Amino acid sequence: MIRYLMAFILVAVGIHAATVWYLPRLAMKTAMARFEESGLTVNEIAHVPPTDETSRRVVRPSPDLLYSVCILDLSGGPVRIRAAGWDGYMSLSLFAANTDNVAAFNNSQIAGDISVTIGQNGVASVALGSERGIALIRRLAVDDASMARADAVRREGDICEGADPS
Amino acid sequence: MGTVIRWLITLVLAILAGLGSALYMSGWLAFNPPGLFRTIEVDGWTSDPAIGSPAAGPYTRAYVARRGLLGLRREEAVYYLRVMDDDGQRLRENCAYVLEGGMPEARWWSVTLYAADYYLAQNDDDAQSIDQTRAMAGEDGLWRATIQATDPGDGSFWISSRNAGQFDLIYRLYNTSPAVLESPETALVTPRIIRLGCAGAAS
Repeated sequence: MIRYLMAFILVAVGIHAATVWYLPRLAMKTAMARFEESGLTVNEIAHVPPTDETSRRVVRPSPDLLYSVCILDLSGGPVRIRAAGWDGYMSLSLFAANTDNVAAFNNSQIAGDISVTIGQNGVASVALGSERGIALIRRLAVDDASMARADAVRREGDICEGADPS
Repeated sequence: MGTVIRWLITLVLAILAGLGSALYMSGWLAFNPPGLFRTIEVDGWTSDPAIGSPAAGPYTRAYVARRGLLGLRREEAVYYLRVMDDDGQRLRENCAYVLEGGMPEARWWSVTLYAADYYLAQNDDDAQSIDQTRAMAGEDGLWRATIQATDPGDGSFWISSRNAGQFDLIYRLYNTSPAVLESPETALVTPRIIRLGCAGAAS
């Protein structure tokens, strides 16, 4: 009987630990897959429509923020992102494959455009710590007029692209 | 044969126990696990300073992945969750509430209503939140909003709970002050949630 009990405990603890470790990675994979299913390609900026009740790719979206997203795939080398300047709150944040927010930059720290180069390790200006991840640009835009202005700004100036290794 | 069956039953039960306990303790099941997202509690608003941080524990990381994916670390934004009104009753669609508070120390803040599935409630009322740019302080220095399923039509700021069922509120503070980060119990200005009444109930 003791053998069964020991086996039960070992397997249960192992499954428990593996599941808790995997859940954040599963959530990120699911989010990235949903973006890709909607036509988004890796290392390209995508401008998410204004948030409303139909926005169901990522939980708890803010209806007061306009989002742009880039699915990062660093297997081919570093990626460069530029978030065009905005006169309200704006931030560029980077999320590793385990959901960690490894970096966040906002326009009270950096005036004008925010530009970073992201790599898997310390060679780039930001080390993501994983091969894949998500870059997210948030812009505060609470009414139709500011939404339209922010949309024009992001379409004109936001960039996500492979960084030139030379 | 009996031994093989006993081993199979043991392994199946162990897998179910390991999987079920992990999902429960990570907040991936419908009911809340005890303790998670309650490291900080200020006037019924709860939070965890480890959100988004590489220092987050595995359960916090898994919880945030399910209920607040792509949350920012505290240096950029802090998030407070509220599921009960000031009387300790679960927030729900068939009740009306007044949300009132002062202006917190933050570059920008908002309070947003989410349905039980963690997304915006399925209605087209375009009234999901109040934020710093729309909150108008009265003579007493407090801003107010009415939370209910129908437009109150009295000129008050409306947050719609239509089709939200049992809902919760997220209080976001972007670029808040060091005092709020270090001593939220004394420095954080928290909105009150006063229940006005419920449809089909005495109170």
